[in-house]
Amino acid sequence: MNAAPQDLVARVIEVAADVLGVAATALTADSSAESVEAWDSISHLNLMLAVEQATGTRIEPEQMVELTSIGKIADAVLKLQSQ
Amino acid sequence: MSTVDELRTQIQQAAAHGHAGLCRGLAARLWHSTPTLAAAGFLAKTLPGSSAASTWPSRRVFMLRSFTVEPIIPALVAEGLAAGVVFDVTVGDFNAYSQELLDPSSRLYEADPDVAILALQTRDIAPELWAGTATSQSAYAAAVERVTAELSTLVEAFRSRSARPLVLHGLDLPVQTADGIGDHQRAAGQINAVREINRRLVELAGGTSDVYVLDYDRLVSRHGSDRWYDERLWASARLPLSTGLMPALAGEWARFLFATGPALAKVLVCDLDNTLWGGVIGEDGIEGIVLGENEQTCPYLRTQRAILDLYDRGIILAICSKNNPDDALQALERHERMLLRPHHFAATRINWIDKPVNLAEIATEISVGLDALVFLDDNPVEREHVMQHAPEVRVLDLPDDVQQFADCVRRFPLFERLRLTAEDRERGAMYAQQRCRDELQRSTASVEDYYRSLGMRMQVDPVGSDTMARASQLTQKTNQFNMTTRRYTEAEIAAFAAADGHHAWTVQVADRFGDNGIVGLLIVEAGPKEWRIDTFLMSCRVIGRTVESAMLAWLVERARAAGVTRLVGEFVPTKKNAPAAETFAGHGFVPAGQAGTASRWVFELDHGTIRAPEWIAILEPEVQPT
Repeated sequence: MNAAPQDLVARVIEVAADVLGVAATALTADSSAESVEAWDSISHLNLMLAVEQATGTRIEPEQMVELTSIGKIADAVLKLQSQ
Repeated sequence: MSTVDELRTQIQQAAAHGHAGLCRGLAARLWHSTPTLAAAGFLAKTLPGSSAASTWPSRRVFMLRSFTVEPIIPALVAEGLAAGVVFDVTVGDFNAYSQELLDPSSRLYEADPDVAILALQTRDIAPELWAGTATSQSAYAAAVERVTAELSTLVEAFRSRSARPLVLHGLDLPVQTADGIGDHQRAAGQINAVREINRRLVELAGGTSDVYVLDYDRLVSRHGSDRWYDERLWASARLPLSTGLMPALAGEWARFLFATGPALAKVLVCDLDNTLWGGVIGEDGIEGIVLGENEQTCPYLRTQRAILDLYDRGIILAICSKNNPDDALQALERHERMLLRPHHFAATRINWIDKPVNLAEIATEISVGLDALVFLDDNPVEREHVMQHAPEVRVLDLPDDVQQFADCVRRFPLFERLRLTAEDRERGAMYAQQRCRDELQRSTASVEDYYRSLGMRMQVDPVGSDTMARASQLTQKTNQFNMTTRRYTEAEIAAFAAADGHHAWTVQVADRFGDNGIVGLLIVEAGPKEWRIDTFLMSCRVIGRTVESAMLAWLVERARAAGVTRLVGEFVPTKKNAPAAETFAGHGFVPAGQAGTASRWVFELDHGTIRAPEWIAILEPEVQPT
């Protein structure tokens, strides 16, 4: 699988920083639900919806539960955008 | 950098520098232009807790709900921030609204929020009506009875346990019916059964103090049910609506949250040229300005109608226009198609002076804070200038298209009012009377002569069911002449009126120019020998006419008649109530200690009395209180 380009990762970080209420500088592609305290099950849904909205994609509910890091989200968005 | 990025940077700077008004205006601009989840998150993490927002009022909200609302909450918070209000939202457990309302020790009652919202939808509370799965017509009728009874029980439980306002969702009409177009032909079909529930909910709310219905179906239909519902999110997350429409629901909730609290905006200040009419009066003349024949098709007349509706709702109107006053007044007075006339405006500034200066004068003239003004101007340069230099003033973010002006005025959430009192309806006329009083004062030699020539009459009545709404409204809105600034809901006022240990009286004042309506409120905690004045307030409408002296004189007489020997007053200073600070001292009350910033004052009835000013006649109520 192709890794998402840096600008897409940056975009996801920007959205995640807003939704999770943290500074964008505190997030990297490796940041995940385990490493970020504000990333709980409620904010995960908010994050998925915000990413859909910001990237014009539609993430299937089954896939949502698996996208637990910035990198995974960016990769999934890249795939959805290229479909 | 995109406009959005620029706005975000500006908001961060304004927040860091404590520039409250600018921050609010920029937040409104960002949120209304880009109402996304990310923007909501950005505002929620940037503004609350910043020095700019430290002076903003906050409202504690409890969400009772039958469906997932969590992703909508950031949008609700953003709606508040865009209006300069911090919503502190607690969400109840998923679909646990019944237990939370019925159990007196639930999180709801423990949190004791400023307002509660019960967010329901048909598919949760009446699934058979939503899906059309009932096997007989009588089952639909039974569903109507069941749902109404259930909601009555919940509303009554809430009212018996909390004095706070409650906002209740009406039900949404089913999108599909089992019988297709045949369904609607029957009064007890799916569609009409839901309509019947909604009708009964309005009755239920109308018969209970401080309970209001949010017309959820109308909200859905305004945006279109095809766009509103999202079956994918419903199936996976019990979130019934699409991401793009979450701000619409948040916005509707916010309207109710604003309208159930103290009024934040009270005055609409209108520009004239290209706002109330097309063209420039100073250049085009009264014949040349554009005001079409037909209200339906002329956008300026539609704007005027929207403004006139606000006037009838009790919103005060003012004019701030760069023009020669003679030109502009001629159009206001004589143009045959104008709907708005000079008497609708409580203050007028038609001149070439900087608008922020005029706005400050208008606020002073009407006796409201600058933050109660809302500025309506088609010119984006003027709007920006006001935002920068009179940041307290709220600026309507008018679209470029003049066809949308009227809707923009109508949609402004801070002019929503849930209950209209007689005083609201008459407010505009009262300001016209006030101008006559001001003229009289200017033409009278001494202030005493002015008082005498006014012919004031004051009447005090116990608060009754017909005056509770106004009494509550006075506690919510009165900031200047207010000794304790305690805000009470209708239900709390009702409790005072019914309780043995309390008295609550409204004070009505009239004079030769007209009736000011109910402009004062007294609430006392009545012990056998001592009355403690819990609330003593007077609307700014009658400040400076010695009405407070007449109120205190009346209270002393009433206390004496009840065998009381001392009155205890309290003054709790706020940013705005300096006009009331000297009242107790000025009427012979003796200081009796401090508690924090609050001071306590005592008047011994055996040692003296307070005389009513000779120029105010005190009328006895028709029915004596028991």
